[in-house]
Amino acid sequence: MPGIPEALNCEYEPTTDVTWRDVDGELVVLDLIEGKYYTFNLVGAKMWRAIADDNYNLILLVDEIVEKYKIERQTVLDDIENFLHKMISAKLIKVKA
Amino acid sequence: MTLYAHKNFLFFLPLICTYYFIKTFLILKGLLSLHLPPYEKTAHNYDLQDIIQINVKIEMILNRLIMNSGHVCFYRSYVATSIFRRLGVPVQINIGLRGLEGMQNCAGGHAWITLDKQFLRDEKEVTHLYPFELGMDDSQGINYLVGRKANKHLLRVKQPNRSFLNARDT
Repeated sequence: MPGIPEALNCEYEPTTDVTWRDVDGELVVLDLIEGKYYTFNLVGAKMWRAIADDNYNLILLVDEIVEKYKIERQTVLDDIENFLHKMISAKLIKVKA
Repeated sequence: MTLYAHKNFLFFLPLICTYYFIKTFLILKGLLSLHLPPYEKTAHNYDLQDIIQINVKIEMILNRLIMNSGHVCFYRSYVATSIFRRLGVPVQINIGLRGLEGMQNCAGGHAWITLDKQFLRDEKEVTHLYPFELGMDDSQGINYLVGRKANKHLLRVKQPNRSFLNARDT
């Protein structure tokens, strides 16, 4: 799709050594191997759930965020791409085989 | 004579300070390099009261050695677990985490040890602070729990409630 970063066209899944839980609307993700603990805000949590759920579509999520928060589409795309890269480098998610 | 002793004391003061600084540094370094034996679930028939008494002694020694170096509860749990597992007692480390209100990328927490889900030191109130099970690292025998977001200042206020005092340790 034109204008869509390549990272958003891939399919992702959480890595096996990661566990997560909802606490008061915030998502807490724990890397059991590194013993590192991450907290995601509302949008981050939504994105995580989209990735953890098999029937997800990141592009739909982008549209939802643009609609809800009235932000430029390109800004949302850049932010999500950045977030995906961060999660991959933290080994929280991986590209589906 | 008194003046002479006073001068001597001033002369040796930097040496004494340096000695205690190096000693504390080496103790903390030693504690961190302690190898944590793997967690093995074994059938055992220890008297819990005996284990609690041994744990109290370990704590007394550790409190004197590391004093207020921060993360005391973690060092205490780590060292006690390392010793108990070497003795064949399969204790578990529990790590409770919670976000702090208004502080991004900052978390408070507490660490404590249990034997067959029985508390050796902290009271059960600690589970009220960290009520949600997050995950278990089976190979290391570390159980992670998470609590609701808390106000840092509330956690640091000296309260008669033991659960708040436990949280201050971290």
